[in-house]
Amino acid sequence: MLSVTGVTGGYGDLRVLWDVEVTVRPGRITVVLGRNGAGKTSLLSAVAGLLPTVSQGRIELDGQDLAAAPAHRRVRSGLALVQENKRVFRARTVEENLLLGGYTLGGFGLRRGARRAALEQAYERFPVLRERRRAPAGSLSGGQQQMLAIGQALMPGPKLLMLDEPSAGLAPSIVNEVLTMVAALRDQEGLSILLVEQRIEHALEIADDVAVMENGRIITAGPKSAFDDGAVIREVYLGRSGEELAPGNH
Amino acid sequence: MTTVWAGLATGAIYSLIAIGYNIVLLASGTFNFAHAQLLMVGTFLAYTGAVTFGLPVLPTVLLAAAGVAVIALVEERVAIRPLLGRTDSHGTLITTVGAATILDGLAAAIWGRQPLTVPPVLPDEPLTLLGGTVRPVDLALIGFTLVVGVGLHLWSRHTLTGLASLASAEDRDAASARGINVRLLGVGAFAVAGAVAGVFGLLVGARTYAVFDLGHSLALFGFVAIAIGGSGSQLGGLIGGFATGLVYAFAARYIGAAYPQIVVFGVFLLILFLRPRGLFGAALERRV
Amino acid sequence: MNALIHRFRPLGVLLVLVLLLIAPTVGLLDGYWSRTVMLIAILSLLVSGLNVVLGYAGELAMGQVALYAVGAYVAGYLGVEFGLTNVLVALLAAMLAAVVVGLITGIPGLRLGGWSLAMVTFFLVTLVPNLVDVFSDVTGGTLGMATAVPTLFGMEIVGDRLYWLVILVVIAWFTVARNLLLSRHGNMFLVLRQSPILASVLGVSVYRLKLLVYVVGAIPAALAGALFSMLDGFIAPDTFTFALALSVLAASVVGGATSVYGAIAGAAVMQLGQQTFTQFQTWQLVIYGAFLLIAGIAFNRGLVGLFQDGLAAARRRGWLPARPATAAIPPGGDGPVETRLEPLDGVVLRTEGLSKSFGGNRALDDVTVEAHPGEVTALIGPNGSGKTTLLNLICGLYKPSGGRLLLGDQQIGGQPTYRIARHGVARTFQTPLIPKDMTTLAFVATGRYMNHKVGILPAILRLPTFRRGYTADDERAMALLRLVGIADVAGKQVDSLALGTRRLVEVARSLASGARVFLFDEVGSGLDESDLAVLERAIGMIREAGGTVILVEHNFPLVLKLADRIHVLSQGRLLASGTPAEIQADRRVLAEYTGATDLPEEPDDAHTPATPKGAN
Repeated sequence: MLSVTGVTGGYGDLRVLWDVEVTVRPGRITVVLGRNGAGKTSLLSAVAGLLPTVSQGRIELDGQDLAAAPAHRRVRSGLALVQENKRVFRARTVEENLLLGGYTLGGFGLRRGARRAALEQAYERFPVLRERRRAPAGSLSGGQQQMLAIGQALMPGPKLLMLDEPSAGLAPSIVNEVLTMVAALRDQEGLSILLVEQRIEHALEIADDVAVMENGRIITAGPKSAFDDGAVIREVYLGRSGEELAPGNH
Repeated sequence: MTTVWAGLATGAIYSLIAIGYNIVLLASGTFNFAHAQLLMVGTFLAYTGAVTFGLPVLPTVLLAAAGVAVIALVEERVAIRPLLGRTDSHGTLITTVGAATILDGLAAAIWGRQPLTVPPVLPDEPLTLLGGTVRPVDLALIGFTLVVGVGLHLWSRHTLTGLASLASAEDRDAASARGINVRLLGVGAFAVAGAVAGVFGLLVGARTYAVFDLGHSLALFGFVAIAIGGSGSQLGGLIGGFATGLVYAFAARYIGAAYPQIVVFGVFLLILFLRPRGLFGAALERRV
Repeated sequence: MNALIHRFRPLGVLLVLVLLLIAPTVGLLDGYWSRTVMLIAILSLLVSGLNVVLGYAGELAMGQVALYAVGAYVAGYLGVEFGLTNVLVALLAAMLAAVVVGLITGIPGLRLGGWSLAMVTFFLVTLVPNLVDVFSDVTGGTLGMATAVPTLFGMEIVGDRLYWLVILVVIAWFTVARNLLLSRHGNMFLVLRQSPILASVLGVSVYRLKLLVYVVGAIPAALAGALFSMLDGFIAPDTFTFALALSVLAASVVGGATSVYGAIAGAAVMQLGQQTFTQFQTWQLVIYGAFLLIAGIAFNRGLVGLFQDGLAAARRRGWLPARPATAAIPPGGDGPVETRLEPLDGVVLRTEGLSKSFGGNRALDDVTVEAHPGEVTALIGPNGSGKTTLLNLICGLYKPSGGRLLLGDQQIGGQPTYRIARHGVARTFQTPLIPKDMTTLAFVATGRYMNHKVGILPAILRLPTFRRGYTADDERAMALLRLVGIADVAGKQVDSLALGTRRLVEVARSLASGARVFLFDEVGSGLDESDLAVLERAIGMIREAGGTVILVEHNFPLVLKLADRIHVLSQGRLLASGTPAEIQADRRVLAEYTGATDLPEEPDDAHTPATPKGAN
């Protein structure tokens, strides 16, 4: 499905990713864990085509190398990214946000054809968004904004969904709801998902595969069963991994 | 009332500049200082079409629109694109002034430094309307400016491309993450802004003459219009332009011929000092 | 040989200047060329004024030509109307007028900066003919005005004397500009250009500093105007055109805007180009425009930049003797590493019911925490829990929506950032804010800008106070770099450093200010083991010295090791507060942090997340 190999990149001269390798199997969830600043968001940005420089590596979706494609082309190839911090167009209304999510769907009319169908589906998935469809996105509550962000990303019917800390800043009850929904997207719609999540417990509950990042590198990766004893997690979040890191980052 | 008409006609030109600034500002986030120069080139192309080639109105307008659109695209390629993705925002401050200066210089070299008279497309007999006199071309200028300004405002809210341009003005990265080709949108905005400037070349030229340094004062008054209307708001720019024109006309009529620029400058300083976001900016933002 | 060259460099400069001054007298320059030199000198004043504003403070201010006109008319009017032909009076009056005009236009224009200021100043230039017309009683209107012959103590200043006057004024201005720009003040201008936020965190009022730079930049333009009126003996509005404004801008970028002497090179290119090529008149606007375009895109360091690159290349290849390497490093670079800081005047920082909403979102809700001197107070919580919002409220980058913020007994909530910084609140940033064109040492020393102030006048005159202050700044900065273990990068460009090193530089910078409260935002992330150890030691020292430390950090072990007290935020609310042991034992905290629901019982191992439940 998605296979990222040997990706190195960053912001101009400042490198934040070194030789990163991650895969997402079809219809499965890969969870990327790691402390703040480990490079998880940069990894998603690199896959989405939003990291300013990717100097080497391959980013393949269904065998098609996207590493050189611009961000908007990657969306057309079936990648969708939900950025961190509930990044919606705050000045636009809920419906406008959703319609913008369907930007890549063909057709001329704003509310015609495939876009109309996708809009209906989004409203069915998140009824609260229909209620507030004329409200500016910035006036929604945090949880509603997160739903809007996800609904927006799902509009074009992507093959791979990437979520960057969807639970950040949400109340625990909503966190459960969001992550349950993420699992449902996999189970019911067969979506492949790359999830960056800080609430390890919840994330691991729905994960199929796990990758752990530190200082811009993947330090360990594998099926979830390999992480069942929690030792690696403990190391990553509560203590340093102990591995000697190459001196390249200093 | 005649003063009002004169003010509105001059104001229409300022509105056009403000609209041009806003088109590019919304879609690509750059302030194109050279937009007033594009309108200046539009008046010259209109002159070339109507006088030199003796073309009828429609081909003249098309020639000017296509010509200025191409020039705008070249400007984008040379002065804007090389700076995309750079962190320091000061780059375009210099390069768009450079592009404007080159256009001034080329116009002076090609068409000379003397003002050229662009013929009015409509019969040149003043009409009496609402108790004042106004030339038909000026009336057409006011009317078409209103149509374009309001049209662009509606377009930006009720079409996919319009929404995409608002979205990328708000957050470029998030817009490309939704599949919007932000760069193409920016290029397209230059072409549209150029074409609009070209279309109006004939009407504006009939009011101002075609002269190589027309751009300087228009750039300033267009910017005052933006300062009044709030940047990024098409309606605000439209209103701001007309307001600036009225201030100008009334100052010229009641204070003296040397004063209108000074008065507008005073208004400009006052607005920057009291309402740096523009008089209508905040109100319009809240409504949408 | 090497040392010899450097020893005699000032002498060489002096020789060149003397040669320039006596050139017309000894017949090296005829009338045409001495006039050309004077015109270049006058233009270079205009360009230098723009450089100060554009190259250092990063604002495009095109009003130099208008101020040029102001200077010319003020000097001319004083001579014609009041017989005040004394050149010193004329120059002084021109400067005062420049300051007044600078303030009138700068105060509104700088509120937004960027294009607003550019447009205000453009506007000013186009207004010159109108204003000349309006005040035609004074200015002679479009016909122009003949000026009186300038004098000095009874001497008529004409011919060679005028030449000397022009050259001396230019030398004086460039000495002032050099001394100002190559000082902490110039460094602070560069910080301002790069990041107004950083400048305000360093205690600088961005608005006022920009206004200062803008007004300083106005002065040489007015001087140039006064000199020009003496040179031509006649002033008319058609001298002060928009085209001249554009040529000043072109000269600035051609010479290199961020340089002191680039103005002279740029002015020479423009003036000679204009005089030498007859085609220039037709194509001058195109040429100016092309210069701006090329300079904006390709070489933004101008001729001076090319010259420096050439010099550096020549040095590398051994064609020229190398520069003494120690130039940037103050003495005592290898001194012993300090193990203690001088006592810091720490103070209690307290928030009372502090809240912040963005639109409908309540990012921080009724948070009451307290940080004590001599303690490390940690703020932890998952992403989006409001930690950075709290930090931004404390240092004034956000205005609170409700609640109070107290430093000691003083309510500081709602004050602008620079004011809070001056109360002694220093901070670092999640993504370090690092300026360009500056050495690490100079950057760390900017931390001392506010609390160890050396005035502008002492800097310009290079008074002993300035030298003492400068040496003290450098020594302190060097000591702090040693303290955080990166003394070796003191002479390097600070923007060339790696992320981890940048963090340590920021810590050193915050220490340099002698702050009372230290806000460290994610200071440990991106650091490797050895850097982390240094950081721990540095924070430990601040605590021992009595500073108040607030630490936002994700590195839980680091927090447990360093913190005396921990506050846990969640959803913008305070979830728990306590000692590290208490927090470790608090189940809600762990649940919040990792989402764990069923926790192991052993308190020792309480921070271990539970084994994941079976796959679903």
